[in-house]
Amino acid sequence: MFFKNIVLAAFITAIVASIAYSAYQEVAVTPIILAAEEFEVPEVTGSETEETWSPENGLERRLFTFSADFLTAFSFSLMLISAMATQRKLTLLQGLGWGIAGYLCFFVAPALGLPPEIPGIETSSLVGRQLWWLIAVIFTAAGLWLVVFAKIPLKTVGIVILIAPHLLGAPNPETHAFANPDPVAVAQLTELWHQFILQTSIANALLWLIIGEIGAVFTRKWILSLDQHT
Amino acid sequence: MTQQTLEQTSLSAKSIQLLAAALLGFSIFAITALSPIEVIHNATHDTRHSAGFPCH
Repeated sequence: MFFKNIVLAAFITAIVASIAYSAYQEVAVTPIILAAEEFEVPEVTGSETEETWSPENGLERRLFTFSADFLTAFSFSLMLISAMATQRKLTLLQGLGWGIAGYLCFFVAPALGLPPEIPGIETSSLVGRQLWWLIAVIFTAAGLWLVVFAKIPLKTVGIVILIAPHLLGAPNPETHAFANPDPVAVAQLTELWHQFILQTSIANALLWLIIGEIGAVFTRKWILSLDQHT
Repeated sequence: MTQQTLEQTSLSAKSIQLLAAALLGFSIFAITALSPIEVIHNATHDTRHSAGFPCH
């Protein structure tokens, strides 16, 4: 019963959150990605390599992006609602708090080490960055949990866990370089990149606040109410 | 069953279901955000950039 209700609650929460997120993304974020792609230098590939499928620019690409936005929002909602459901009581204000915690775990903490990137930035190996990114997410979640819910001595452990990934350091190159060496392009790409960091910070805050708030409404209605019947 | 064991049983049944829902969420997240399969990367490209996931 709990599982079914969480999945349903997460599904509806994700529909609302991803519509708002995708709309903001369409207006403020995607144009920056497309503008940055204009500066991309074509990769030199051998004649034997076959192009892997990718969605056509325009409607098809947008539909895939909106679908992936929904799946991401659905996965975030499932995780956050499961976490909120561990509580005996949950107010709507606490729902916002949970949303902010999700934003800190999945966006702010990893972005402190690995800021969101526009296409065309040359950086370190993908697997290394993905690994650090995931460590930052998991450590921030565990650290925040201890700081908020544990007793005093364990709270200090929580703080250590929170800062550990940043002491370890993200696998970043000394300076960020762009694949396009033209100085004019570099200046414009740098400006686009700064805009991109700002706009993605807003978009993801919007996404998480909605997930926290709508998620809390359904968690109270469909999940915590089950506790009284069992 | 005593009241206490009843409560413990329902509590652990709840925990398992919460864990299962969270793991389902993490699996979907791992595929959309981190999968190295190139077709999935191309389909989720703009979402990965917008959400700040490492992409290229």
